[in-house]
Amino acid sequence: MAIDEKYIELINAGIDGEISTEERTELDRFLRKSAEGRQLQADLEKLCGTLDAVEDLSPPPHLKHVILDAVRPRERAMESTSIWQALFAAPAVRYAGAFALGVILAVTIFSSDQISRNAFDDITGLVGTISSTTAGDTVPAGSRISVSNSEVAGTVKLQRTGQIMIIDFDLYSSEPIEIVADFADPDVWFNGFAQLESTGTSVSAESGRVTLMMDGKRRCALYLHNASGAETTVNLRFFAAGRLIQEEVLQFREAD
Amino acid sequence: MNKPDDTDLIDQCMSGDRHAFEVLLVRYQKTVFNAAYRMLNSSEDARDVTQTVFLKAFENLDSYDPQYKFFSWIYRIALNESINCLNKQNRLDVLDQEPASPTGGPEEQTGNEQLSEGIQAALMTLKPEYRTVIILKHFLDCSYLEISQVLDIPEKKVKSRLYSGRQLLKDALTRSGLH
Repeated sequence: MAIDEKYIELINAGIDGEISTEERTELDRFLRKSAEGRQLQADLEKLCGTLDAVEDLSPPPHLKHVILDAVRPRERAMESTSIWQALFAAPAVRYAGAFALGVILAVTIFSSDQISRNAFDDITGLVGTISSTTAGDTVPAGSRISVSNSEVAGTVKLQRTGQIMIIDFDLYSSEPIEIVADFADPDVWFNGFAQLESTGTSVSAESGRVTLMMDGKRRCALYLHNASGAETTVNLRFFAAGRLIQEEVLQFREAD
Repeated sequence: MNKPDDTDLIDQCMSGDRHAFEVLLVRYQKTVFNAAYRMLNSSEDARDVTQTVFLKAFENLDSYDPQYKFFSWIYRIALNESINCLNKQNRLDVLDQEPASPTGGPEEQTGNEQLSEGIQAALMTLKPEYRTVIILKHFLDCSYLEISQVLDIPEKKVKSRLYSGRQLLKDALTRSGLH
């Protein structure tokens, strides 16, 4: 015989500790008479016990720092008086400005043996693209990797726009990290580098390889030109104190 | 010394005290991360959602209504962001057909990991409306009233969703041999 809705509600409320004294008395009276009711109560208690036994997961150790670094102090926004401060308070402009600066910085800090071989495309039109790859965007499988270990944590995403592949690094490291990006495809070459709201990432490029050195929180992007636009892969290796700590492959797929 | 309450911390945040925000972040990041993880079944997505939740909360502190508890507000943002994330990834359509399965063999997992993954797999078979109340009740320790405030639905509906959700969860766990 099915249990009356009213008693199902009382059994659940009793388990949740959300029952009045009168309701408890009524429930106890019902349970004394109903074996089915007692069975339901036992099942639900077991279920709730199972749920309560599940331990909480710990968020990634660097998450707090990543969030705090991303928060702009409220007083700074309020103190903005100049037109430049007001302009750069807008996130899109801020990203764009940071990228423009990053691109300029990149030119001054990387060394490359491929400059003479392959011309650089004008990537100024891509300035700000890092801001479009924030949380929640859908990235094809194989185009996003998660980095999670005690030395460095975060994500790396590969996106495309035309013939340009953008490798977006969103990482937080607790010590200096070397990231080596290898691409065997001769039609792929280093096209630029930008970083957002941070400096200090050094870049060096040679044929088929770009090496980044970073420490702390870094949001930066590596631009690779893919002349053929064909499917290709980029092999990423992460080193801490010269020791390989993680190796991943990013896949670049042909445009639909 | 007493811990500062959420309302005081929010006032301090509003006047530009970044440390107050850090205290709130430390206080709630674990529960927000766990809620997002239980909704999404992905640590990566839960990390992104947690980040978005706190940034949105900080940016929109002006719109926080102090007649409600801060955690109700932040849990609501967390669940909405999680559901947005699910929608974006078009996972809703496949959840019922492809429940998540444990990633490793039993020999590789501790008892609690196995239990956690089994429950997670069962949770992912539930529709989001049932999953949210189960998460709020059992993982975030909310009362019926608090759940109704977070979800902005009457308590009566909270109860019916919770009881139905439990039944569905029990059936899923029984099928997987965990209940």
